[in-house]
Amino acid sequence: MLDRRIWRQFDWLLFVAVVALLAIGIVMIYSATQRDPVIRGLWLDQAFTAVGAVFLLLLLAAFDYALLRNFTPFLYLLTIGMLILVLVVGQESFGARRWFRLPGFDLQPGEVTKVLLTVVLARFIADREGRRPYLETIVLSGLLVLPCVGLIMLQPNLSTALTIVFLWLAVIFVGGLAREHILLMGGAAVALLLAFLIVSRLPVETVPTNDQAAAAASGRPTPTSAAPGITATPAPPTQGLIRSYQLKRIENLLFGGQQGENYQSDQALIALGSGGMLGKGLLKGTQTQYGYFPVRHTDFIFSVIGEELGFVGATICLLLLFTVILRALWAAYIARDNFGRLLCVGVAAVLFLQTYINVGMQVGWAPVTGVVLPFISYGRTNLIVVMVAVGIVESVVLRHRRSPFAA
Amino acid sequence: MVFDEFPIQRRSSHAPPPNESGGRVRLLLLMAAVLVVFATMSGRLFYLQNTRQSEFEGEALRRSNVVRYSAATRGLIYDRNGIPLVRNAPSYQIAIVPIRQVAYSDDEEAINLLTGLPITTTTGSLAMNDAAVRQRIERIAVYNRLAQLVNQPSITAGEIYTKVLQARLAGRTFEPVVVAENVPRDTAQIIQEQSLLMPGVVVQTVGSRIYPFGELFGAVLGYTGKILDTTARQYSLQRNGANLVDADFGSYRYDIDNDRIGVTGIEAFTERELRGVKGVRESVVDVSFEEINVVREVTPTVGNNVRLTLDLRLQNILSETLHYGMNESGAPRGAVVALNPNTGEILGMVGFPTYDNNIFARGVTPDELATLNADIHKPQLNHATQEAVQPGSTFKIVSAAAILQESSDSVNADTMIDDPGVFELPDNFNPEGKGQKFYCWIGLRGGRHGLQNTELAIKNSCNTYFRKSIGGYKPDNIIGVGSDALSKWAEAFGIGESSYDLGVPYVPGYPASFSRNLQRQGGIWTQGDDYNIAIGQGKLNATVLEMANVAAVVANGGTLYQPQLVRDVIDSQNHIVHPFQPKILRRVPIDPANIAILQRGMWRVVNEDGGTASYTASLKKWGLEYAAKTGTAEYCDDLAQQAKICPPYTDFLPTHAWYIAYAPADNPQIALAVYLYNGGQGSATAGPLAARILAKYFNLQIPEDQLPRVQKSAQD
Repeated sequence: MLDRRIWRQFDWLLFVAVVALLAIGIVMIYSATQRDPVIRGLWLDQAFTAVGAVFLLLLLAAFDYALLRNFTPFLYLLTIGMLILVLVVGQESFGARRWFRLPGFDLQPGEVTKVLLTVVLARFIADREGRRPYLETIVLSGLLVLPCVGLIMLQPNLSTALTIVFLWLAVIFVGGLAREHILLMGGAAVALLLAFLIVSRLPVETVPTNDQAAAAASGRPTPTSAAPGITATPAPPTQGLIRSYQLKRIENLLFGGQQGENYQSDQALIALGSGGMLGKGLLKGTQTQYGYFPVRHTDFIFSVIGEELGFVGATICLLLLFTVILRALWAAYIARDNFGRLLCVGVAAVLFLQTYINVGMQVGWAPVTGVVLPFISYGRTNLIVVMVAVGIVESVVLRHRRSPFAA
Repeated sequence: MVFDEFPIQRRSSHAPPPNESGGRVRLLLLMAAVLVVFATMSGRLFYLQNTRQSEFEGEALRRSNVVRYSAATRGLIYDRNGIPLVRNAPSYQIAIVPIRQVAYSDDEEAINLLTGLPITTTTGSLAMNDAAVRQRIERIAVYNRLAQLVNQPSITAGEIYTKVLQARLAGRTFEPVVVAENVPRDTAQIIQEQSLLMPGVVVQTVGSRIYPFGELFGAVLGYTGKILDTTARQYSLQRNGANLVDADFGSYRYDIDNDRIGVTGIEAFTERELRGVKGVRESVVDVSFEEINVVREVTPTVGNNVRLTLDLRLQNILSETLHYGMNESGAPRGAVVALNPNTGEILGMVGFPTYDNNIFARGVTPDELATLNADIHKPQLNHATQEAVQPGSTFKIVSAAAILQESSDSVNADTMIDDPGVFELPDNFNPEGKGQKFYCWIGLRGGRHGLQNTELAIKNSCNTYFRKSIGGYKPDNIIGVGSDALSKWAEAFGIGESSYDLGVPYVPGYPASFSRNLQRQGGIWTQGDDYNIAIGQGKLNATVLEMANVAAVVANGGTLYQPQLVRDVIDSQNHIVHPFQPKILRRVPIDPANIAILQRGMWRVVNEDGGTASYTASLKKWGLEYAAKTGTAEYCDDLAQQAKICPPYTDFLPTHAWYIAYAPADNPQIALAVYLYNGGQGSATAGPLAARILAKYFNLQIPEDQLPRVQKSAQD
């Protein structure tokens, strides 16, 4: 039978790495939340979601990815629809609208967009393969991506927008970007950077008083902190595509933020660094267990791993994540067609950037943004999204032989 | 698989991608890039977790392990009979620990309550930058709430903000910043209960003292308070919560910012005894300062108790009588010191005006301080030990001792010297002209003492006798003892002594003499100066404490004891740690026969007709025979000049009233010195005052109306 034979192609290394990451995640979520009565049970949630997501992965693997081609217009409209809807009826928190509250479930359209757009882009570029000029492909695919990026920026959610731009770049890069276009885009990137530098040096709207607050927290004076503002002005303004704090973040990303600017990331860095080679032991990290930094089970779970399992544990996690990304790229390499190849590249790009931003934020490279660590962090939307993505990769692997009858 | 039969799949599977090989190379490039990035991340991890591990470990420890000191209960101070003179009462302060402040709070309810702003979030990921905004809202909300709860006009949210910001800017984020002091107990309790809602806020108790007798012991006890910047250096520094080296654990250290110490008086003098040993406790805490477990702990040791030599009963007698005496005589200042002549113990010591040390113990207000400083009679000075003025005729005891001991053919115990009431000293520069006239007090009233020897001269307080014997008088062929010899004897009696370990501030008097004056001021010294110091006037001065000690030396037969205020030190189990030991400063080298003359002279002052204090002899009738010497010291200080009570506005100089005494005469138990500033005649004011003190101290059953009365004027 066909199914028997193609299952022999199943990438067990990829699968095992993913399951290992899920297991580590559940254990670390348990460790990070067990002292907080409100969120103590979350590891169980995550475990149930993980089991379901594994089945979802296998289901997707069994499903021929080529069928996805048929749905791409619908998927694209769904994406745009969700992104518009979330701006209208999404839950607002600190001036951002990023999720829907569904019964028993918080859905983040931004997360879902990552995988849906991967499919749409892969189909679009694969269909235009061989067509010249490729520049037209770039521009047209860019026009597909632009509304999504714009809508996400309106939430606002800079990190997800960046992830999607990166996804697009990775797909068109593998999809056949000509050398001169690479040079062109490189030039554009440099120009953007310069523009950013100029903009960030300009006096921007004095948006949230973050810089002052951060300075107060870090003990450095700010030029504008003359009179203590006793009545707080909490809500950051909601208009404008880019905000001063986002500029600040990008600046930090590019030039390295100074320590002390953010209480949470400092505390997380202390947790991570104090773990040493072997860590303080599961459930024994003082920074983690005594609540010195927040969102330990989501954004900062890598610091929990670093503190409790040490360099060895953290490196094992990185190695597993590296394995997953590398196997996705390998799947792209052996894929039977361009559509499958670009699907895998997109998945690898999303996983890679998410890992990089999340870990980078905890080792002091990147600014603090709400990006979670794939497979490990608590968060159902993201977990399902990345598991579906890996399912698609497995589907590509299962069917990588050009003709099923040739085998 | 059924899906595989779909035609769409087959369609795409045929034509190989045109850029296939290029795409594959690029994939390999991507893999290499991913590898590089992951390798770099791993390297960064190694750098953080290995190279910089100890740094971060220290930081983590600084947060999780907190060392807190608990002040030991301060020892109490008792009077000589064990009556407590001080009470411990905790005072509450509110502090903010900056590092705890920014703690992220998961409790939405709490934040909503504080800010009045509904904030929604999920348990999912949170944009950190938004959290930074929220932290600031939280902090300011906490300040507002705190200011509301404390409800003191000087404590506003802005003030708190500034204080905390300053600490942050100075990098002191681990130590509590005190934002409110002397907070009432109820308020402290409410804040304590709500501290979970207000991250970073802690309630601290500080040992505070209440002195139930206030002014009565104020100047002696002193008070406790913050460590002053000027004295901070002498205390070893240890801030609460600072990193702790193992060897220091539980050691005796001060927290410069928060500890209360004895600032002055006995509180400062016996600080080491009273203080006890601080407890120290290292514990693991969570982010909201909640204690998770105790790592190690040393409990505090209660301080030792100090028993003073002062007698509360006598102190009350002194205070009441001095008040009465000052009211009657109109003296604006006064002081009394009572010593045990056989040990040097100070049994009573009162000086007016004085201050209530409670106002300093609880933190003096600027108004109170201004009032104290504005008083021209200086309530903050201990008038018994810090005011050196001319002792007047009470000093004649010292002069008599000098005359007797420096005995010569010219002047000795038996020499009779004539007092004509007034005598003239020829003017050296103009022998033909009129000389300067020196009156004996009796001469001013037209009388004369006639022939006097030492003993009689003491009894009569004969100025002429002492002037001629000390300063010499050519017409009578008297070669005087001289000012240098007199000064030496004054020193022997303890005037100008600066080596006392008293426990309260004091100034030494000045035993003036020709040589001293030359040394000190290079000033002119004439025979007139000799005549002045002979009777305790002129450039000479002494404190009340010193004059009490003069009486004590005569009473005990010639021993100068160091006056002491601390009787003994007792630990919390009532064991005597440091028993009382009299400290003999020196044996005054005076012959017993000469001491006997001084004693007889002082006895005759009271107990013989014509003695300058003979009208207080009534005590004898009620069972107490005592000895004394009167004194009336002319002065004209700045205050007197301002009040225009000196010549040329008046005929005579104003006078301080003095009196020294010891009792009973045959077995002295108490030696006294009484001083009334601008108090008139010593015999009319200070004398009766002393007699009343003795009558009450020895429980003589004298009816109130028969007690010697302080009068406005009498003979000297």
